[in-house]
Amino acid sequence: MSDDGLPRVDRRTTLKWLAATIAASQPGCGRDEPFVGSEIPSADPAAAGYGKDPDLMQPAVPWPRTLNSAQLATAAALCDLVLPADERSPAASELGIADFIDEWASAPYPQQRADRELFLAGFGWLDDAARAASGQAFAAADAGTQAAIVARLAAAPDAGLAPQHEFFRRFRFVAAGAYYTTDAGMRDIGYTGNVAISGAYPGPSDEALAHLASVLDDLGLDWPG
Amino acid sequence: MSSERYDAVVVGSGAGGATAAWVLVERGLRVLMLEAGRDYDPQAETPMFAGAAQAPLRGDGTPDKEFGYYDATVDGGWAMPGEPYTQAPGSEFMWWRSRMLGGRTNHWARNSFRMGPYDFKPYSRDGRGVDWPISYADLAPWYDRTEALVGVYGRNDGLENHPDSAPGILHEPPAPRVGELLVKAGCADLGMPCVPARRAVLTRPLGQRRPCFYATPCGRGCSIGAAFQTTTSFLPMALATGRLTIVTGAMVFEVLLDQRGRAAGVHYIDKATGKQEIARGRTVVLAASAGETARILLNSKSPRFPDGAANSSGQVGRNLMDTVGAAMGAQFPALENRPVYNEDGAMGMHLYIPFWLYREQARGELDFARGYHYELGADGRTLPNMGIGNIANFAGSHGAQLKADMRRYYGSFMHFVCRGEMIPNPDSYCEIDPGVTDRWGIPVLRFHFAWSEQELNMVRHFQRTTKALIERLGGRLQWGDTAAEDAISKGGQIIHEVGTTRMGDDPEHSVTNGYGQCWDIDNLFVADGGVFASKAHKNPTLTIMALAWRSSDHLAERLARREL
Ligand SMILES: Cc1cc2nc3c(=O)[nH]c(=O)nc-3n(C[C@H](O)[C@H](O)[C@H](O)COP(=O)(O)OP(=O)(O)OC[C@H]3O[C@@H](n4cnc5c(N)ncnc54)[C@H](O)[C@@H]3O)c2cc1C
Ligand code: SF4
Repeated sequence: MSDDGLPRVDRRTTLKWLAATIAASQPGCGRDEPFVGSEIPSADPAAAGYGKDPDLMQPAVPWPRTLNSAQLATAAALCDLVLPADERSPAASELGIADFIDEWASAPYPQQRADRELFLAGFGWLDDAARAASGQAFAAADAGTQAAIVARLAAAPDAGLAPQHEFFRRFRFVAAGAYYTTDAGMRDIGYTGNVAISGAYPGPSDEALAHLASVLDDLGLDWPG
Repeated sequence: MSSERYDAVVVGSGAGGATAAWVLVERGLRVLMLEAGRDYDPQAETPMFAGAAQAPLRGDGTPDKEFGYYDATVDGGWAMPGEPYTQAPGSEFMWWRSRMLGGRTNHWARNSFRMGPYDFKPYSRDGRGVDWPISYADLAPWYDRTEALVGVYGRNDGLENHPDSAPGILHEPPAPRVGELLVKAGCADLGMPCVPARRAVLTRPLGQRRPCFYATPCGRGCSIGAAFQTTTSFLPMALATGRLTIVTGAMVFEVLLDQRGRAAGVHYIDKATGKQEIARGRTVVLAASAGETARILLNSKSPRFPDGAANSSGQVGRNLMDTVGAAMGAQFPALENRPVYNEDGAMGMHLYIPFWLYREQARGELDFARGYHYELGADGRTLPNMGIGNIANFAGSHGAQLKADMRRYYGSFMHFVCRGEMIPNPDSYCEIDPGVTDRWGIPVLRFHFAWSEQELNMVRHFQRTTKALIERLGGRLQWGDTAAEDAISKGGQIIHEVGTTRMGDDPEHSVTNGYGQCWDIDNLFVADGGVFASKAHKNPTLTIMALAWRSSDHLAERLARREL
């Protein structure tokens, strides 16, 4: 379990699933749209992790980034469709989320290696879909094409796009995790902690307590004495 | 190593070892502490406020750092290169180690509950397991002393089998947060208690240590000393007496015996040189953690002790227990779109649910014999980490809608954790693997582990109760409602392993007496969780320290009387 209490159900290894998908997407194996078309370049096999005793005061990423510029462009376009700019916070690409996707997909750990295969396959599928619709790679396609493709990806997995949907969920998990751990992202959702307080912990504000009182009322519960 | 003979050689610098060393030097004895891990300086090495965005992979867990990049664990985790442990076929056991000064106290969750009177006499109450050779009353003064020096927040609620501390000892507990108050309201409706948790976190100054400033995750360690760890408390206090010598990088593998079969010291590997060294002492205190202490004893084979030192009972390695773990999570519409305030607090629990069904259990209405408590993950808008990506998938949206959903749902999830008592069983133990050694050639442990219906029934009860609570609060169950066999933690996973050198009043069925003193070797003591005769649902570390203190007082008195 993660320490925010959310289960890491998303973090299972996707390799087995991917292999099954590849088999199922061969011609004649059903109506599903093929997912893994082109070959997937593997991460630098020599890359090492940071080890069991890294310097916590001077954190550094020891492995090289490995996405090529086309893949980075696709990652940037997709993460901005997932997390666009609005009046409260900037677009994901402005916060370096595409670069983080590269850091993640280049890491030498099993979870990240599995995600790499999924992401690169997904990027390839996005390009294929965009070319079919508009003649351009996904990153260069017009906004309408991009939006239509993402809407298909995001839709329930029963539209013959189950592996594509799984790719999208996993990408959304990583992109949102990266986004909302930036200062701008944390501000956006109302995380106001990580500041030293002197004296006693103040506890909930009056407004927060008033809100609690109203929801307790709705639930038919007494104020906890 | 010099040939000096110390009054005591203490193995391990974690909860048990540091307590023992402090008590012994405080009583004027000269102590050598041997620690397998490296030196560690919390003032210089704790990334208190460091942002997730500065860490590799946003600080998310990896096989190198399973609990995240900033977690204080050094050279440890579930798996350590060159230092394996093995599992018997069909057994699953997980062993968390930490090779550093202070051991696992640098990053434990600091939940600190006293065992109660029932917990020391479980066999007398329900005919299962064994009784301890001591009672709650025997240990109570040492609980008070330990809590006074460790610093524990909480409240005396006078609850059955949940003893109060002596007046003036506990620190003021922090105010509950909104989610915790919501749970408390639901509990009141369902007839369950929900009271201030007890954690080894200061809310007023204690010596050089400063009170909690309600920011920075405690698992990274606490450079201001508010969250208890031995590296900011017992160890510097003991060093200040001038009577403690600490040698780090010293991997003990054997108790050295003299011709009369008494402990003369220990054998260790100096990890820097790879050479075997000897440390001599009038007494030896093993506190390398329940697993490692059993390993050292079992590896100390001699003609006098062919099955390992202090093992004439055959109980070394037996009676391995861990806490019963399970968890469920839910989303609560009542917690959506709440007014923003800072919910960091002391980072861990402010409120918890103690066991409340003693009457029902005594009347035979439950299909499990022992208790469990709830640890609450109801702290709301916690410091974001990669796990927050799960909220995006919960929302299932993208674009402008996703950003709105994130604001709505962040802080609306809570989870509920079961921490229950395991009853010792003959299928759960550790032994030396006959075929595997570590990087220094030291034979390693092989674990056997099995839960019984008792623990599974407890988990089922927890699941039913939790679902009722979630439903009463209008929540939407998200995870954890699986078959008990899948929901229950793996052995060792809760990191409360105890029992492998249990105490008792009978040398045939126990390894030590009530003072952690080995029956077979009277100047050899055990001061870690190995001595537990049962594993109450209360988290073990406070009790490890109180027992280590009591045993060390006894050791010092016997040594002063020249009885050792
Ligand atoms: C993430 C986490 C959360 C936890 N939360 C809680 C909690 O909330 N409440 C609670 O009560 N408990 C908790 N625990 C458990 C708690 O950490 C342990 O119960 C406690 O630290 C055990 O103390 P110990 O002295 O036996 O062992 P340790 O603290 O592990 O210390 C043993 C020391 O001995 C050293 N050592 C090992 N082998 C050798 C050797 N051969 N030679 C020399 N030195 C050796 C180790 O390097 C280590 O420093 C938690 C643990 C973890 C990891
Ligand atoms: S929350 Fe408090 S106790 Fe925990 S690390 Fe921060 S200051 Fe220390």
